[in-house]
Amino acid sequence: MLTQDEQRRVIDRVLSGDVNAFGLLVEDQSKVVYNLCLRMVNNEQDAYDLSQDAFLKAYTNLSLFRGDSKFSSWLYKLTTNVCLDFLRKRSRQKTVPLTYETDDGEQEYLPIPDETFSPETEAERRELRSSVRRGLSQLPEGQRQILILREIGQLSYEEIAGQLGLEAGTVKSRIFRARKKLCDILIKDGNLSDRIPSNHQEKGGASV
Amino acid sequence: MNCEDIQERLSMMLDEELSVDERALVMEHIAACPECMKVYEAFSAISASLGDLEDVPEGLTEDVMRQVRAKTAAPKRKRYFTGVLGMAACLALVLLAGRTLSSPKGEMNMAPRSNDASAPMVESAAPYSVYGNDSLDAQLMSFDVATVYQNSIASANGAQEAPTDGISEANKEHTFTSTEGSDLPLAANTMAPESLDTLLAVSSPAEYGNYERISDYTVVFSGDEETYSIDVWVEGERLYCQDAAGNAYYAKGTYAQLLTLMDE
Repeated sequence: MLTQDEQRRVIDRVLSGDVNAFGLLVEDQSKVVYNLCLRMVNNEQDAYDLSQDAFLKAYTNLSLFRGDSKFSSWLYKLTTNVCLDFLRKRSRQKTVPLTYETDDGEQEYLPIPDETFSPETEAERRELRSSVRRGLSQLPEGQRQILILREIGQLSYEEIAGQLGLEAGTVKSRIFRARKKLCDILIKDGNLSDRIPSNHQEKGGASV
Repeated sequence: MNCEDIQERLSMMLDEELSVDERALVMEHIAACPECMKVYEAFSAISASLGDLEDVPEGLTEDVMRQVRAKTAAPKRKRYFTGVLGMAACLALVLLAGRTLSSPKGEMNMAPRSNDASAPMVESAAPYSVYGNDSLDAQLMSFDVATVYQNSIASANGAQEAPTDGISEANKEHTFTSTEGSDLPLAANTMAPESLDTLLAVSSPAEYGNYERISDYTVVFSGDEETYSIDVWVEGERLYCQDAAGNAYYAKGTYAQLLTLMDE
């Protein structure tokens, strides 16, 4: 990935009129941007379209990027906000069905049974990943945005706080609550035994 | 520290936001506490799953660059008036929510280098300096004209009272179409950009996306080749603003001041 200085130089080039240089930034950031979109909206086609929207918006507003934060922080915030707008517009138009898309692009309704939190095989890892993604799409959008800015965008609490106009302490507690809620969702949807303690303990006497 | 406190710190530890000493405390606790150890495993597994990124589908860069080039090559003309669309009776008012790069004004703002050294570094995402600068960005002052569109009747507590059907969004443009004039903005006042420089200056940064509904006002700064817009929602006397770059903030000006401006 480009260093912050390299990104800076590319941005300067773009602002001086070298349109094609923007392609370097796209290449550099496309994986994260695409995954941010994918985890926000849980649909590959929408994520692809929204990634384009995000980059185009970044290009259009590049002169507004002040350089007092990292370019990637600014870009990721912009990206997740584009997704938030999309989700809110969509929820105004129709009820979003409670389905999710698996890795093969199928629309699944029923939860995958029998997840564990300590995957050992590749298959278990894939199952867990699927469940986590599904659970993520059930989080409230604001929590989802903050959690993925942290986990996928790798932004620090301070960077997220700066980008979203929040206190760092607020970011910290929202991330914690998002993780706890995700745990609860995963326990509720799956057939987890009492491996993981939650707010609603289903079975007593957790054993090590 | 009880388990709830520890679990909060587990979250921070995963994010590398704990001091060395606190880490030691936490690790000591979970070594002896199966409940918290499980939470740690769960949080770690979630982190690992989320961090496992998908590959980007082929062609994203090409598709983006194609749009970028198209945008740069677009003929320069006033974007907020277009001709008659479809039915002869339609009047379409197109507001472009964003600037183009087609004419660098020579003062492209990479702010930290030219900022006054005595002003503290701005952490927030607001495009306008929060500290030491009471007015809007100089770039906005370089536009020719500012137009304030009133989209709804904001009542004393900021509730929206006008219909917003017919306001659709296409390609990031707000299109006000009118079949019988009912969907046009309620009012549109044109003024010099300087008139708004303190009204819409940043008082404090805010969270983006507070509102799903259309804004109460839209302020469009226009020049020969570009426009820039800010959406404004009324909250009592406060003005909540969102700009085209995805920044949100509370403005220095009040609703009463905005109304006065609209009456002039």
